[in-house]
Amino acid sequence: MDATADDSEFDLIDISAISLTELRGLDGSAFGQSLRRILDDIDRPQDAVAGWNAAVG
Amino acid sequence: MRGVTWRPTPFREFVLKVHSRCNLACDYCYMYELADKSWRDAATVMSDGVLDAAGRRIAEHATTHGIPSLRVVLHGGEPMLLGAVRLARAAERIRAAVPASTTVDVLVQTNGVLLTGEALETLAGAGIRIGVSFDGDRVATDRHRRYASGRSSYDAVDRALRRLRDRPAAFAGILSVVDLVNDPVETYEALLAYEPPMVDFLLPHANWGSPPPGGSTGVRAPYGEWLVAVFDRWYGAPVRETRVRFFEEVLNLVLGGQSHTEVVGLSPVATLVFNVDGSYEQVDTLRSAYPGAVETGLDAFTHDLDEALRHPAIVDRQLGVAALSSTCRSCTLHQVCGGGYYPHRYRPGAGFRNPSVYCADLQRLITHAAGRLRADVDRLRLPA
Repeated sequence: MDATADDSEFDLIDISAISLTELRGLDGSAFGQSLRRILDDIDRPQDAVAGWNAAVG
Repeated sequence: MRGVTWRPTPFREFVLKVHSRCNLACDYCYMYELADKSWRDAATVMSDGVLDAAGRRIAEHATTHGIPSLRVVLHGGEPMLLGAVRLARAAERIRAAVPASTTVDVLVQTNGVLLTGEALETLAGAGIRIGVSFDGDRVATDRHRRYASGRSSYDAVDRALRRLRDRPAAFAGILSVVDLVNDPVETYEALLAYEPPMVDFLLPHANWGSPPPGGSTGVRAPYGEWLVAVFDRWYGAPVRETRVRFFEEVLNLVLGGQSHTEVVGLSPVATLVFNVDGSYEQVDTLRSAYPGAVETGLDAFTHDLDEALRHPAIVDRQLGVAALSSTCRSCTLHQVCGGGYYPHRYRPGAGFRNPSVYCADLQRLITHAAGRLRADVDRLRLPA
């Protein structure tokens, strides 16, 4: 239960080199769904808000 | 917070504590078993007067800010103690109060014990979706989720989840609290058997004054390791079998997106709780920190919701990176973890400007999930 994150260099993942055709052709795996979601977020930008975690749905 | 530019984000999620008592006595419950014992003095049931006042305030807020869609969570205590018919009526009253241009998603989060076939039909008929709190197989569930008498709740909840499996449109998902003693993959697969559209794993409520259970295992990040095992089982399935909110939000953040949960990321928290007596509270999981942590001193009868938006504690949870500790700000992982869940940052005498007590666990999960995602992205980038 350390209070420090020692692996402090962390880069976000860049998907800009992947073609849209490839991204849209991904399968239904968690990986494919994750990339589809980020594409949807880009297509329909909105101000995200954080929802309550003691309810699910 | 001098020098920080802040613009309030209107509330879009409203938690209505419709009943302040529970028919189970789960030993990890933030309402009844942790620091704040104020429930002992609370009214038992949300009256129609409070419900109507809440509806008026929500409608006023939706109109003022042009909110196109919002969520109402009927919660408790155990909300099903109010009865399915009254819950359906509550949803109807709220929907009737808000402008026609605002869609209202109504959820009930229940322990499932009272979700009979008839109750399910009533709730589903009223357009209410149902989330169930449940910890996995019989052994896992019996470890914590028992009646005050000690009797198991498993059979009743198992029946409710089977009913929900047959009514997928009404099934919101399953919430499960992590216990290191339970096998992670077996736990996940026990939940998966009910075909929930979504699962989420909650870390036990803990902070620097009340550390998480199992901290003496000698493992640096025991909750991180537990979650990594579930992540690999979930992520490795050829077709995604269910949504796991925690993991999906982490992956979206790692890809540069935004989070829709208060557990990770830096999105502003836009949730307000109406307590059973109409008082406004912050997210009530803060009860786990110290007595009175949730109180705002405001209520639906005398204060509009914009006043609640200006409450310092609400503002603090909309500030994003400016509200993090210097330790967190100096760590690049904060873009993803967001400093961790707010109640988990509390340290007696020092408040909430601290890393999460689960910092090492979050780090373990995030770096592992990012590693798997990065490997798959790299494979896509390779020339054919």
